This record gives sequence, C-alpha cells and structure tokens, in this order.
Amino acid sequence: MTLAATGTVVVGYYALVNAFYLVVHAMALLELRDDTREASYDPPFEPFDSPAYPGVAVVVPAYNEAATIAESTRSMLALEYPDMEIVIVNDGSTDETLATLIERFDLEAVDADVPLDVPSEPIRDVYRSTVYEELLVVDKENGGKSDALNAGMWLTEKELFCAVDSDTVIDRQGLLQIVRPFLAEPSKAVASGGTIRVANNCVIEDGIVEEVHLPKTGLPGLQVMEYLRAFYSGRLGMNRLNGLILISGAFGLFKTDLVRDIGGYRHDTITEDFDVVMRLHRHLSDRDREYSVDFVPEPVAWTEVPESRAVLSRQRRRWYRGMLETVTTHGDMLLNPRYGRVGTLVLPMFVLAEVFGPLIEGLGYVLLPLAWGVGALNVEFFALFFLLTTGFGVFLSWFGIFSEVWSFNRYERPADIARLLWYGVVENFGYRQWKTVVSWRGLVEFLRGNTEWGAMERVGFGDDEE
Amino acid sequence: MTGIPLQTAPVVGLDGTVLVVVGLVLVSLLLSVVVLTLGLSVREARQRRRRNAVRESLHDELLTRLYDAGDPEWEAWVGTLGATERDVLETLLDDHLRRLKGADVESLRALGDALGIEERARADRNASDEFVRLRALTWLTLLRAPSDDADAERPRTRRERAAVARWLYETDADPDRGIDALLGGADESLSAFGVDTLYRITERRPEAVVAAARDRRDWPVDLITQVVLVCRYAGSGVAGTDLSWIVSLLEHEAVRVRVEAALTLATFGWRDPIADRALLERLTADESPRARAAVYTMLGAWGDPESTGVLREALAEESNDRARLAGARALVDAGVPEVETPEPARPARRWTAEHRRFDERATRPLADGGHRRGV
Repeated sequence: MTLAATGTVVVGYYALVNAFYLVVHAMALLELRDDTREASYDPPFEPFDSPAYPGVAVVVPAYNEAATIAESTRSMLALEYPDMEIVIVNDGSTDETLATLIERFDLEAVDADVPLDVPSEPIRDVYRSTVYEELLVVDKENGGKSDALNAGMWLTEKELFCAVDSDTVIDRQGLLQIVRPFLAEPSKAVASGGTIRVANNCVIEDGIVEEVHLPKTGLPGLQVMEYLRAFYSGRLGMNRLNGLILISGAFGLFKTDLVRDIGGYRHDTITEDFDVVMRLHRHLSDRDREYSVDFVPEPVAWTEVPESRAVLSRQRRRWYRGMLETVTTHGDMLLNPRYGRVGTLVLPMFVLAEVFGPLIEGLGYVLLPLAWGVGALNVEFFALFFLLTTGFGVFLSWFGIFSEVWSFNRYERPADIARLLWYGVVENFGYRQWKTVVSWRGLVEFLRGNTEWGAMERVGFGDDEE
Repeated sequence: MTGIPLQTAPVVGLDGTVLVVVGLVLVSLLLSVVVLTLGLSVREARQRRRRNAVRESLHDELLTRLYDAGDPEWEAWVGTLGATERDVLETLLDDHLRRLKGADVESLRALGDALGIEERARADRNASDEFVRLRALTWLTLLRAPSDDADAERPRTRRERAAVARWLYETDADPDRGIDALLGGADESLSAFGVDTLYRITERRPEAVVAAARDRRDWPVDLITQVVLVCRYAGSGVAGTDLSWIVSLLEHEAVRVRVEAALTLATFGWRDPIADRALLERLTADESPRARAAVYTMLGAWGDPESTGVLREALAEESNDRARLAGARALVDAGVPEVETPEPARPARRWTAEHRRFDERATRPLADGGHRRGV
C-alpha cells in the first residue's frame, strides 16, 4: 500500500510539473511570435544620433582570464551603442590578466584615490586607456564575482549596467536590443536578460561571431539543445507570465541605482545572478512599486560551455547548490501573494520542477530495481509511464528547437537541426540520469556547506595574435 | 521527466487504454513537431540559398544603374526580375535609402516606384495588423512619399504615433501635425523612435514643441522626462524660448523629472528666472542625492560666482559621496581652483581632474563624439 501511495504521489507530481511545463512552453510560443514581429520592424532612424538611449556600463568581472581577456575586451569595445562605458574588474587574478590588459589597451593608472565608499574588497588601482576613452579597468583584491560586480557597478555613473562574463561574446547590436524594455517603459523596467548560446566551434574573429556551427562533439551539442530549451521556451514563457526570476549572469542589464539601493550583489552566494533578481522582486514588491523584469530573446551572448564531463559536473553542481541556496534564502516568498505571480506560481513551480525534479528522478532510479526485486513493480505500467514521460521530455526539447527554427534560425543548416533533434532524444538515455547524480552530489555539497566555485578551463575564442 | 510508478495504476484509476491513447496523442505531437521543424529548416535554407545567389549580382547592377550616367531605366530592369529577385531588391533598396543621402536617394525613390512599393504601402496603411501598417509607414518615410490630410488620421498605437510623426517630419509637413500625432492626447511615454522623432521636430520648430509641453503637467512622468530630455539635446533653439515651465519642474514631485530639468537647464547655461537664492538653496537641500547631484551639475555649468558660491556651500555639507562627486565635477567644469573647493570634496575633485585628463588624451573618442558621462 505504501509503495502504491508513493507511486500515486509520483505520478501526480509528474502530471502537475509537466502540465506547468506545457503551459510555459505554450506561453513562450506566443511571446516569441510577438518578439519576432517586433524584431522585424526596423524604424527608420539611427540610434547613434539619437538622445533616446540611456547610458550603459558593461561590467566584466575577470579572474585569471589571461587567455581570453584581450579578445573579450575587444569584443565589448566593438559593441554598437551610443553611450557606453566598459568596466573590466580584475578580481585579484594571479595570472597575467592585468598585465595583458595594460599592454594591449595602453592603460595607465589614475593618480587619485577612489572618492566613493565601494562595498568591495580594497581597490588597488583604477586604470584608464589612453586609446579607448570608454575603457576603465579596476584592479582589486580578490573577493569573488559578486564583489567584482559591485566594484564595477559602484564606479560607473551610467544609468544602466550590463553584467557580462569575461568569457562571453555579445552580438554587436546586443546592447541596443537588450535595452528595449528600458526604452519602452523607462520607469517600470528594472532588469532585462538576453539569450545565451553556445560558442564552441563557432568562428569568432575580432570578438565577433562570424559563423555559427554546432559543436563537433556530443557533450557541448547536448548543451546547445539545453540552452535553446531553457531560453526559447523556459524564460520566454516565464516572461509571458510576468514572472521571470532568472537572468543569466553572463548577460543581464540592470538599473544601476536600484541594484545599489539593495546593496549590490551578495557576497555569500554562488548564484549571484539568480539571487539579485529575487531580491529585486522582493524589494520592489515590498514597496508596492510597479515594475517589470524582462527577457528579450534576440540579444545573444555567446559562451564557451564545458567539453569534459568533470568540468560540466562541477558547473552543474555549483548551479544546483546556488539554486538551493537562493530558494532557501527566499523561502518566505513561496506561496506568498504579496509577491504576485512570482510568489504564488512561478517560484513554487520552479522549486517543484527544478529543485525536486532531479532528486525525485534520482530516487526513482534507486527504488525501481528494489521494487522489481521484491515483486512490487507493475512492469507494464512502468514501461508505459517511462515512455510517456520520456516522450513528453523529448516533445518539450523539440519545442525549443522548433522555436529556434521558427524565429531567429541561427543554425542555418538543416543537418544541424536534425542533429539537435537527435540530441533531444538521446539525452534521455544516460545524460539525464547522469545529471540526476550530479544534482544529488550538489545537494550533498550544499548540506555540507560547500561554497566553492570550481575552475572553468577555457581555451579562448579564435586567434589572439595581435 | 522520467518517473517511478510502483503499483500505481489501480490506485490512480488509470487503465491501459487511457495510457495508450495518451501515448498515441504524444507520438502524433512528436511527429508533427519533427516534421514541422525539419520542413521549416529546409525551406528557410532553400530560400536563403536562392536569395544569396542573386544578392551580389543585383547589388552590382543596382550600383551600376545608380551611378552610371544616363537614365537608370528602373522600370525596364524591374520588369525582367522574378519574385525572389524583386524581394531581395526591396531589401537592398531599404538598406540604401537608410544610408545614402542627396541625389542618389532621389533616383532610388524612382526605383521604389518601379517596384510599386508606394502604392502597396498606401494600401497597407489601413491594414488591421499593426506591424503591416508600421512597415507601410517605414516605406512611405524612406521614399519621402507626400502625406495628405487623410494620412494624418489619429494613429492607433504608441509605435504608430512615432511612425506617422516621422513620416510627416521627413516629408516637410506642417510640424504642428507631427507634434499632434506624437503628443496629442498622449497618455504614455514615447518609444525610442518617438523620442528621436520629437528631437528632430524640436530642432526644426523648438517653439512649437515647447508650446505643446508647457501646460502639460498631467502627462505621465516618463513622458515629461522624455520631452525635457529632448529639449536638452535640442539645445540652443529651445534655450531661446520661454523656459519657465522647465524651471517649475525643478520642484516636481518625481525625482526623475527634477533631475532631467536641472540637467537641461545646465545645458542652456541659463539662470535669470531662478536668481532667487532661496530657491537655489531649496534645490541643493533636495532629499534625493540624485536630484542634488543634478542641481550641482547645473550650478557648475552656469559657473557664475553666485552659483558656484551656493555650490561650494552645499558641498561643504554634502553627506552623499556620489552627490559630492557630481559637485566636485561641477566645480572642475566651472574652473574653480582646488584651494576654493571645500575640504570634504577635494578627493572627489582630484579624481575628477584625473579623469578629465584621460578623456582629453584618449586617441579614440566615444562613438557619439560626446563626453564620457562617467566617473
């Protein structure tokens, strides 16, 4: 009887979560339709001549990024935007990150103390380029990514700041696109995020993505499909529901004053991007302010994803630990009508699906053989249930790929699309089971109080011989 | 998501038939998605190949006909083109109309006529789909197709207001019609395109925009802020009009409006109507550090002894480091020497002076040719 009740709960759980996913994906399709229609309208004016665009500081934390920092800085400098500042924050790197920047961009130290009370580890020096007027480099003691973002954000006076990972390449017009919610509703918009895509195997020259290709190997290829599903289905759908709770730390635009008002990024979290959005929701809802957090699907930031299982496991464990940490921190928002749709719908479903989902699934992989061993497993029902849930998972993945083809279609070769569809099938046989193990490890690490970031091994984009 | 059914079926009351039906529905959905996705991808790839194949030769031919002496004979050329080629030619025309100026544009407009674009666009002005109407307005604007009274009917959306106003502006219609399209009955902020269009109109007819804005305190905060911002960028033309409405906004209830009003008055270098020291002292005591910072910028931009005197007094008491930095920057811009800078603001002054030095040294200035509005 106990086993049967457990099974009933599990079936109910999967029905609820998958129904929610279906709603989110359907909402995403409607949102994508509106976004592509809007993107197809190109009004006859030149943004560079226009007073309409608020100033944006691109804040780039860098820790031991000597391999990629020159390329990514060039990429940032190539962005098209009328009023822009690039703030690179060297977070106490132990490699040649700072020396590379000094040499490549003709930096000189500013001979004056910072006259602001910056909530970060001590700032050693601030550098300006004698070539690029818009480039500022902050050299500070190591304090982590949040600390570096705070230092950069405090040292700019631009109305908006864009948090960008140093291993990220942004489309040239990315800032012009991600700023759209702030142009449409200057008082309401407080944050907007763009799409992250996988850069592995793309041709990148002078910080610009020239050709888009699928990665050659399976592991990064599977991640391409995951990213498409997450952004073109998940985030778009949540945006449609006015409940966006995630903006990727690799590419997000925020109102500078407001993030300073909430004290900047928290130092004691490893998913500072998730946490800061949750704190914005909390801060603004508590003050009954009308606001919006938006997702714009077609500013794209390209990032290198892990090619080895070890590194991917480290990254996903960190994401999982961070998710647990942020959800725990903001537990009082769960099912709390004060926080609107975020509190009553999106956050609870997110916890149910993203936090508990992999744990329940992992538990299933342990219990099923046991149940079979004691003769308590209805094998026929299990087989059907497995096929249905797997089929539905494949359907949701394919939905994301269809959205890509229907809208922005960056993977131009049909063979690439066929390969992505194939990844949507094969991820169910091995990869997702491996991810449940990774989530369980993340849970154990969280319970042990592990707050490490873990290293990402990067090879850099393209040639860097200048 | 994969699950763990343990003797579940009897408990939840599901029988095999239900599950089989659900499975069949799912398989149908999967087949539909895969066929749609691959079909769409193949179709897009084929269209892209076709378009790319003709683009270069069409572009070369377009430039040859445009720049070679003699009649380009657009009509005759267009008559020889197939549907894909015409479609690609329209995108090339759109691109060139946005980038080129002068006599070349006149010739390209004739190409637009040959392609029947204006006629199509005028018909699309009444379409029910907003984006069809917007694309029609874009073509009419790019082709400088003259507007008539019937075209000036009230636009239905914010985007359309901006598009109609731009069309009227580009075809040299009465500026009042453009202002009316953009601001008449406006109850929400302007789009970026709308702000840009208002800016162009303000440059051409500042007094008309100022007259429209003067008595509109009922506008939403965002719209007031945008209009004042436009006046700031439009500069000298607006400076010659009656600015008492901007002065009154210095004490508006919204911080954004107060900030924008102060920064705009800073740009005009203008101060007579607020020579009243009591008002200046009230402004420098604003509860918002952002508003105080903007007022400091305004006083520094004016730069006369009375303004800098009020500024120095305020800075001696300023408790917010960011407002203090703005004040120090204002003193540097006003040419006030370091010895006359209040002691608490001196580190900020040194910081500002250093950055000004770098701004002047940089060999590659900002893209907009403006100043680095930062630290």
